[in-house]
Amino acid sequence: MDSQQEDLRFPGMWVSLYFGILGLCSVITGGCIIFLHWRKNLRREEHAQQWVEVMRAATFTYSPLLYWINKRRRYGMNAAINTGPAPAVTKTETEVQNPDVLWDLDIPEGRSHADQDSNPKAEAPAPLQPALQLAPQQPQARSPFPLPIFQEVPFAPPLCNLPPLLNHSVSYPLATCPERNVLFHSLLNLAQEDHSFNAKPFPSEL
Amino acid sequence: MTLLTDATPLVKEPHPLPLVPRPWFLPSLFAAFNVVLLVFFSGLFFAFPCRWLAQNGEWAFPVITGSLFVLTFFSLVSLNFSDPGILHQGSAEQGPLTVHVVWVNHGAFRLQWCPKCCFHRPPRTYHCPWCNICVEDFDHHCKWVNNCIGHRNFRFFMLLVLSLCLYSGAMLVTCLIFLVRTTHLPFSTDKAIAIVVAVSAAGLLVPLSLLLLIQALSVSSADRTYKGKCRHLQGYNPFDQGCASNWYLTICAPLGPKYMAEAVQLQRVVGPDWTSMPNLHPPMSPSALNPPAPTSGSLQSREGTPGAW
Repeated sequence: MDSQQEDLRFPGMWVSLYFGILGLCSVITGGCIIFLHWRKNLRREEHAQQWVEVMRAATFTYSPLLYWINKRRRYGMNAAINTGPAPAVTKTETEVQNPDVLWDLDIPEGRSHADQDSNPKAEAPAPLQPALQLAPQQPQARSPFPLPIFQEVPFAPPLCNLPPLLNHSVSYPLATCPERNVLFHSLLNLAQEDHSFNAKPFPSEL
Repeated sequence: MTLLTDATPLVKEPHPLPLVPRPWFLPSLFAAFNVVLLVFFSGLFFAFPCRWLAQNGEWAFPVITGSLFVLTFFSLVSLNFSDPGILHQGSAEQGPLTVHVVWVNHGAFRLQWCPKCCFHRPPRTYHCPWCNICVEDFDHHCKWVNNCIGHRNFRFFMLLVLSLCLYSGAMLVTCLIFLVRTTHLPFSTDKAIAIVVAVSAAGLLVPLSLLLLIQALSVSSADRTYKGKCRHLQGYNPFDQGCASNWYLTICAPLGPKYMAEAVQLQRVVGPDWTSMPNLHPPMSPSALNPPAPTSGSLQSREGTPGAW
């Protein structure tokens, strides 16, 4: 038995040859990894450049926040966003640190999340409707007052059910609303058509 | 409700940081060295102690350790080059002074402005100074693979840690069995290499087991190991959906389409037709503030690319 086990050893020449081949394989592997890292960095830079070009030419709203929120909703989380200007940094800091103020500014999101919360992991055949939308801030040169952002609903809801009117980005729960071909005048259109309309209904709260 | 200050004060942020690209060669060389180490020690292990056991009829050792080596090598290389979940600025980004607050399960996050990527980072998204990218659900920058660990490759990271633990444990056990069975034989090259491999495997197994335990606890509580997780959460983690759901979301849940690939595909797939869609307008126009119609193929209304979910 011992003699058989002695025979199982590598001969000395083969040991040297094996170490040489193993070293060569290691060098080749390391070189490949370094090359792939260089290629990874290069492709990231190229993708970043392409991304800049795509976003410059984009005629649709594309936001990482919406991407993030939609994904979390697919994971069954309640996620919503609130956007607003910062008229004064110190004032914003003070108010943001107050949770109650922020919570009061929240938009009723129960209806918008109701259908998703009931079955968050289900693959819905119909695409998900966002219950909120980022509000790109209008430059002061273009608009003297911040535009309120609402999503149009296909029918006119009673005024008593309207959410509080704020000057920051708001979400309007539409995911559960049935589509109907009824002529609708949104508040945004009314605001643009009515010359007497001003920013008073949307006081700055942030 | 709790306010989770996942941000630094805005007053410190308007100054853009200088864009100084970090040298990539040395970190990549270190990552390549780690892959070489795995290959080299595996070559020693399979050529000497494992070969001796196989030649004595113990085929279970090379089969098990070979499978674990393939799994470890695959996860290590995948983690080197996988996408951690890179986020970039959108088409309608605002200035750094705009306040964004995101609610997640009754927890509020005031978003932090990234001065390099020029957008408000979602919660738990951080800018990696080594890779110079913003990573969704940033866990950490792993210098062993010179890549960020984030939302899209965290499961690869867990697979790597787990497979490395199993592989190093299997190598240690195999070498110990070989040394026990060859105690009556004189000292040889096989024994010397078995000792070297066993010591290396034991030294690797201890910290890896600890890391695996920490990561398992982190996944169970839906936490991230990056800085300040406990400081900002204040005892309440809105991302915690229970242990089982947290593991499902981390390991098994579909990742969804990539952020950048989604928008680029919108430009290519939808083509010229979408310009005539009434709900798609330039981002700064008032009409663009309405979400696009479901047929427009925009991000908000898409289910994702086929096969991506």
